[in-house]
Amino acid sequence: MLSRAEMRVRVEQVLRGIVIAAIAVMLWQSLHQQTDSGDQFVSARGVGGGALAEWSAFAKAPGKIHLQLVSVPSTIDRAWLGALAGAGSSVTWAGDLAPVMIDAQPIASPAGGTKVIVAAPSGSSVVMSDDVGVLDTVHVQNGGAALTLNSVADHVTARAKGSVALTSPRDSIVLNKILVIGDAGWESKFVVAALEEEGWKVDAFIRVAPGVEVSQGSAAIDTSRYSAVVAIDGAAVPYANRILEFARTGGGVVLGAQAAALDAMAPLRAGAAARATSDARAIQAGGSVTLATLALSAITSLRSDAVPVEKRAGAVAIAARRIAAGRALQIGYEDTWRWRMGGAEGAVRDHRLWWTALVSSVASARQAPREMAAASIDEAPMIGLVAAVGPSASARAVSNLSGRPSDWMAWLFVLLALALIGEVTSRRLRGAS
Amino acid sequence: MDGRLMSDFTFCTGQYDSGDWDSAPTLPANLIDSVARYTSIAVAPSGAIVPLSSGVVLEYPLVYLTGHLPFRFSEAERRNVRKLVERGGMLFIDDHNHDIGGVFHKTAMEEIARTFSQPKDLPNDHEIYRCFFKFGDGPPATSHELNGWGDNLVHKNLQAVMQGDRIGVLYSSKDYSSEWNYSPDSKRFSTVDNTRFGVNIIVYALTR
Repeated sequence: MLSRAEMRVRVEQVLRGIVIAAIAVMLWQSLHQQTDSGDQFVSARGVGGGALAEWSAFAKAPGKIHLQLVSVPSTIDRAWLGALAGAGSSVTWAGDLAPVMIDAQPIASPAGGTKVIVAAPSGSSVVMSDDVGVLDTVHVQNGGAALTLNSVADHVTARAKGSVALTSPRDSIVLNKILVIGDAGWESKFVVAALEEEGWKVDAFIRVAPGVEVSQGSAAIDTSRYSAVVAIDGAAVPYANRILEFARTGGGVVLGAQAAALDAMAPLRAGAAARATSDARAIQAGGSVTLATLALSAITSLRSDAVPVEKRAGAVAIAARRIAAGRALQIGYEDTWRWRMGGAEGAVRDHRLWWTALVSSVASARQAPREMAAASIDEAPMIGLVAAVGPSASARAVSNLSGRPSDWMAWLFVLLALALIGEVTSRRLRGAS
Repeated sequence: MDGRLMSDFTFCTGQYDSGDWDSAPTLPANLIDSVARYTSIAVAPSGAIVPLSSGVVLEYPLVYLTGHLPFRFSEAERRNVRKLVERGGMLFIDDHNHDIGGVFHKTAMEEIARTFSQPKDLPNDHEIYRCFFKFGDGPPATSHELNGWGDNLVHKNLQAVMQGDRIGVLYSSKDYSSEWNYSPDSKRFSTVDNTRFGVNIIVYALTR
């Protein structure tokens, strides 16, 4: 058991040890900084003003670089940061930036056009622009949004919260004809009319009598001649095998409700065709016809590889599936011509656009690459930033992680001073020298 | 297909306010019989009579009109027939008088010109003369023409108002309304069915 005086001496020895250790650490830190400038910490708001060049001009790159970003750096700046990180600097960043991605694909339609798809956080607003100016603002839901443009300049940009994604349609497409097969009747007639009015080149096999067809086009159904086949009804049965082979080799097929109900079309359809829910004529008597009032043969028992494309009151109205290299779309709506004839103003246009959209969604089209400057494309800037320097770190986390030398050196000095004062005071008070 | 909704072709006679729209009452049954007899077109067994002033007429993209008396469209009739033709339908108008000096012809031509445009002669090699049966000389003559009734003329051409490259309004001075206005049962007494051109008109309307 130590006496009170002995305990006091021991405490003084411990305080003396702390002082010596602190002085040793500070001496080591001082010498280390003099011989290694790489542990310098740089904090900057962005990479403008020649900052990257400045950091790169050091004898050795700064040990730690932290960026507080208000916008995603350009492709070149990201590559530069990546190079600094590769040279040994620890590069971190923080900022409230939206991860935005953009893609543009040509639409398989005679009218042309481009479908622009944007990925961004749900709820965000993305401003779409092209070389000429602002096109539209899209509000993102479920992580994505799409915009159809009739014409587009060389570049399309999507801008949201400091991110600017930029793309350019890469391909143009070469469309072939559309083949419509059906019995002589209003549906066949008006499907052909709708497609022709929209600019498609249409061949038609229209069955008028047993062995008699009003034909225009080639009996060889292949992708070198046709982009898609529209099978309206039972007149397509004699061609079922050829249509199936056409789909397997990449062609698109649209199955009308009556054609889909036939056994011969089973390998092509997405599901079973139920009986029509209502008589379109009875519905029409109450007012103008719309897509919603057409009789519907709901698509039931969907195949495992089929996806519903459109529903009406919970019933699948349109479904699609892949068939080897091609695609098939099954329609449940009956007698769509009634919509064109008996609809409100604009029904002819709506019917035409609806049919062309269906055909476009399955049509095979050869893609012809366009000449473009790949360097000007930046479709996913945030991904580029993360790939170059890693994901964002919050300012607090960065602070804790980096541990600025001046902070802990100050605390070490305070500890040294307190230990020294305590040790000297203790000795003086007990009369020791 | 049993039990499924079928969009059968229904022969439609247009009812207009101004004249005797129902002057050929057995013609529809006769043409329906011919369509069923010669083609595989799904055809409703009976025709429909629809007022041109009703929007329901748009359910029938081929509408047949005939008469002897002055022919005038009301505003509602004019609006509906114009919409029907613009949306892809077709009017077939036949002068039951077979008389280009008669009131039906004069007033009908005025109404067509006012509602659409002035009808022009349809070339006799037009598709309508070969889309099912072949008529190398154009529109077949009627017995009324050959017998010298009416205007005592054999009309060489039909007239038409075109909508793009298809016929929107087909006008006949040949009096097919008399020629085809008999019971289908009587066809067995004919060596050649004189309604065959009527089948062509229907096939053309359904396919072009």
